[in-house]
Amino acid sequence: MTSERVKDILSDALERPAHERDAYITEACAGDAPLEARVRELARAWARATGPLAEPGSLIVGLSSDIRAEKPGDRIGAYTLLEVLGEGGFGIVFRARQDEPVRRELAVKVLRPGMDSRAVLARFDAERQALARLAHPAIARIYDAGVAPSGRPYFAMELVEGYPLTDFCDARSLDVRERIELFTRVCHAVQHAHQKGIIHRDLKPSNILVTQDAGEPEPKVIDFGIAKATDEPLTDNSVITLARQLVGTPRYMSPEQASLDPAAVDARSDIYSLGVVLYELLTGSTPLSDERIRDMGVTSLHDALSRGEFHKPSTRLTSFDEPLAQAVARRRGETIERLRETLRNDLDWIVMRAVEPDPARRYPTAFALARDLERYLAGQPVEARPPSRVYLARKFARRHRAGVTAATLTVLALVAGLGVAIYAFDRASRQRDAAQLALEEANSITDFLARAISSIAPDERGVGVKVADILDAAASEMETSYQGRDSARARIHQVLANAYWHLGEYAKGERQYRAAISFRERFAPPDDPSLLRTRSNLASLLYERGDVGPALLMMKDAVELHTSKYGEKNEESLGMLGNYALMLRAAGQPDQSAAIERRVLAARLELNGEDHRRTLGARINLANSLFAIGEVAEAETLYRTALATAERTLPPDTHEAILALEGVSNFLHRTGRQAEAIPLARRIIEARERVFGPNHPQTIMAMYNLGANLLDTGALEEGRDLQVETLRRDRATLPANHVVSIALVTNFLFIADELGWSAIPTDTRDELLALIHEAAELPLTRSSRNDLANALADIPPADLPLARRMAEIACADAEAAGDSFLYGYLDTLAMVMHRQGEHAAAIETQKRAIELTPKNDPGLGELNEHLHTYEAALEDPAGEPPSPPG
Amino acid sequence: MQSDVTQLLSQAAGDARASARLFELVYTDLRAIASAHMRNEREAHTLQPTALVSEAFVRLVGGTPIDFADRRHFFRVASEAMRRILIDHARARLADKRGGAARRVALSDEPAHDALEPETLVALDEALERFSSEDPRAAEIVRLRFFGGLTLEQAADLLEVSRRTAIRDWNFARARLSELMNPP
Repeated sequence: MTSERVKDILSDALERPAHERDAYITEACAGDAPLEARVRELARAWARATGPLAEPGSLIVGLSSDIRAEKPGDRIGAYTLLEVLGEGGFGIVFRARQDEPVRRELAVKVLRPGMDSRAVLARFDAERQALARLAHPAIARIYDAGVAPSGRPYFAMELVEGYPLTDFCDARSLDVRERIELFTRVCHAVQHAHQKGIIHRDLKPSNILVTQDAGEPEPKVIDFGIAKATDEPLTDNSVITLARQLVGTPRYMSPEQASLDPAAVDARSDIYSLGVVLYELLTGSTPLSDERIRDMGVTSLHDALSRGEFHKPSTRLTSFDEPLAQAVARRRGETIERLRETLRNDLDWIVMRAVEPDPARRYPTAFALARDLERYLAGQPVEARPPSRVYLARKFARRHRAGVTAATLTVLALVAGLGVAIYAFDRASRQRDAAQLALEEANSITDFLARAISSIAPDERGVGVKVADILDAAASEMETSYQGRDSARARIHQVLANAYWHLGEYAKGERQYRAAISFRERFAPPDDPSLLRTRSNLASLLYERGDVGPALLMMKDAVELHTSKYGEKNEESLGMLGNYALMLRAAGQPDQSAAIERRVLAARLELNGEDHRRTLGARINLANSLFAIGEVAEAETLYRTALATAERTLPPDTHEAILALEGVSNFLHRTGRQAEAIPLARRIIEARERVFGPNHPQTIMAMYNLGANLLDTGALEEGRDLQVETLRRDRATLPANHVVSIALVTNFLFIADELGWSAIPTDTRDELLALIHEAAELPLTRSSRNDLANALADIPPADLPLARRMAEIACADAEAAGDSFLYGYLDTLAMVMHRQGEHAAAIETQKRAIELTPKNDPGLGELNEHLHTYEAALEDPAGEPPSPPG
Repeated sequence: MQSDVTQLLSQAAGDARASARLFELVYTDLRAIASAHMRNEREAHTLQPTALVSEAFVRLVGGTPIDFADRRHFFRVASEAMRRILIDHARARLADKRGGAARRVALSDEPAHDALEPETLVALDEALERFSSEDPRAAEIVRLRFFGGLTLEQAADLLEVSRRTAIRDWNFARARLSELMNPP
């Protein structure tokens, strides 16, 4: 970012006569050498400028070649245009002939004017290889792309002479069954493309052509790869590019496409469009008619789509006037009554699931949609159901866990932040100690540190001495030869512990804290503030490492002793209370943590004032808890206030500034606004890497968060790649039971759900298996145990007995603590029991889970689905082999 | 045509489709004007884009009184449309130079000697695009000046910044673009 000062000085200098400029720059920069160098560079560049930059009035351009639009008879590249086949908002399609290297007829589509041809081609090039791998009889091939002499981009593709799908079906009066058969073949073609990583983004009847030379009608999807290439990203020129996206008909557009947010569009957007096409095939009209769309602005269109407020197909028929309804029915070889009867239930459900406004609730793949239609055709029960809005079991659990995880990941940072604060405080309090003692102690500590540091002189280990080396040397020095008082020892151990902790070296940090505590206990009473502080720090370290249970107990003690002695409105009491609240939240008691955090925030406002960093932290903490208990609006206000304060008062890389950024980013993520969250998440990683380096827990956590964001937007490959790297760094730095490690496991399960295990590199899978088994031996929170149970049941080779044990402990633990999410853990336990073939136990457990589920939980229907699966398995144990429900 | 554009201008602020339609209208018109010039001046195949934009403004908006915001919008759209026409054209010419042997349209194009080479124009545009992310306002001033036919003062008025700020932005843009196009 160029500073305004550079601009000022440059411009002022240029306004002076040339011979004075030099002196002026020197003077104006007042000894700021980098500034001066930059201004001089720019002044030189300014003077170097030629052409229009030097004489802006003279921009003269040769416009000499033909800039008219193409017409039959013209040549474009290797193609001779023969006749116009069609024309539309996108441009013109020609029948064309190619002579070299092969003689063939094909279609050339010249895009309408005004597109940035270079960007179009760049995007096309990015997909070229994937497009080349598309080989499906129902997909028209794209051969080539380029720029026509008029400067417009063009595409050369397989010539398909057919009718749009809906026209074809109507012209032949195909009945419902025949229409569905044709449509499922389209689904399989789309599935093929999705597997190759190509999304269509503009599926509609006019892009699905049907030919029938002899025998079977053949559907063919055209324009794969074109919509994406011509989809302009949102840039500065948003006036124009925003508009571009709605140039096509919005009737087949998914809500995420209508939101003009390209990042939110993934393969599931195509599923939506397919759903609309199916809707039209069955009822003769799309869910939103052109007239309705015309009357809406972009915003209300998006709203209408996201609410999904339109008729089921069978009801839609009733909304037509009599003659129209009759015509629709007749074209399907039915009476109105019979057609409505045919559509009711199964077909209604299938269509409505495909056009779910929430992508996560749609059929996950085009194949799943096709399979459900095939079930319908075969007279089997279909998967789609109206009330439960089914989605996969694990996704249900994941949604709940994502909440817990994301919250945990944010608050960890605060604990570390507090560590820094306490360290500073430690130094300050030292001044208050008795002068003599302090002096002695200070000398002793100084000597010690001097020895420790000189013991690793660069000539022995090279210049790359790391802080960690110094700490290790100091720690071993302490054990072997240090002779100071207990109080000095306690202090040094405390300092070393803090330092280790900030480097993410939990085990070493813990050892140092314990040593500090044991030395301090020799001379200090149990409620000594330094002792309590050390205990509180140790508790926070344990918590950050994942040992929430022991951390909570230790913290509770420390905080109670401290507040009873110093009261709540005390700097350090507030710090401890804050951390205690974090642990309560992590232990599944967000309502309690929110209550405490409200008190802390009030005290902070009184004690530190509106803009203080601690007040900022307190706001974010409270927001996190409020979000966890569903007070979303208040949480958002707090996050936004915190971010605004941070941006106004703190330098950008300050810990609290990043926390505020994280708060807003996580909030956006969890309220489904990933596209807004992702740029923030990237900024957080950059800041973390700058401050902490690549392998620090904070950096790893930030990477994890971005990965989770990407996965939620359906950017599966990018998300996966990021998580693979995150896991690599995690394994090098963090313990297996760390929240980030466990959260990574969960994300990989999700990735495998979507892309299959084959999409995850083998060594990553090995790392995951090792991590899971290692973590299972370590202290764990119940939500982590629940995650592990899912992972153990899922990652091949499944370890069901260990999964069972994990799930059982999680449930017992939740029960003992009165955790309101017990039903989620029971759901996991039941799933494992079912997989082990213990159907009766699974049913009983699942019933209990359902009993405990709040009636407004959106997953309730799904829990019932699982119960049905288990009941079916009990009745017919010889039937389908046990498999995960959903 | 005139009422069309003025109406679209007033809708364009909140309506993406009106915006798209407006862009297409302006773009098409600019192109038509350019073509007409080409037909008339068979000798000197050069033009000043700024003159085209002024002409388009007269043709499309004419005497209809429009308010300030609409006026600003028009020039932004027009300078963007002009930019696209020129850049597409320059790229097409570059592509020809690189060996589009089988081209029907003969390249009778020895541009007048003071016309900008297509390479320079494309390089300028790429530099401008990069610069745009560093300093959007200064880049906008350059665009309005080069492609929109505005003077520095007019651009300053349009963007509602002081002339002094516009001069600062311009000097900085000139230095940065020069740096981006010809690294030392």
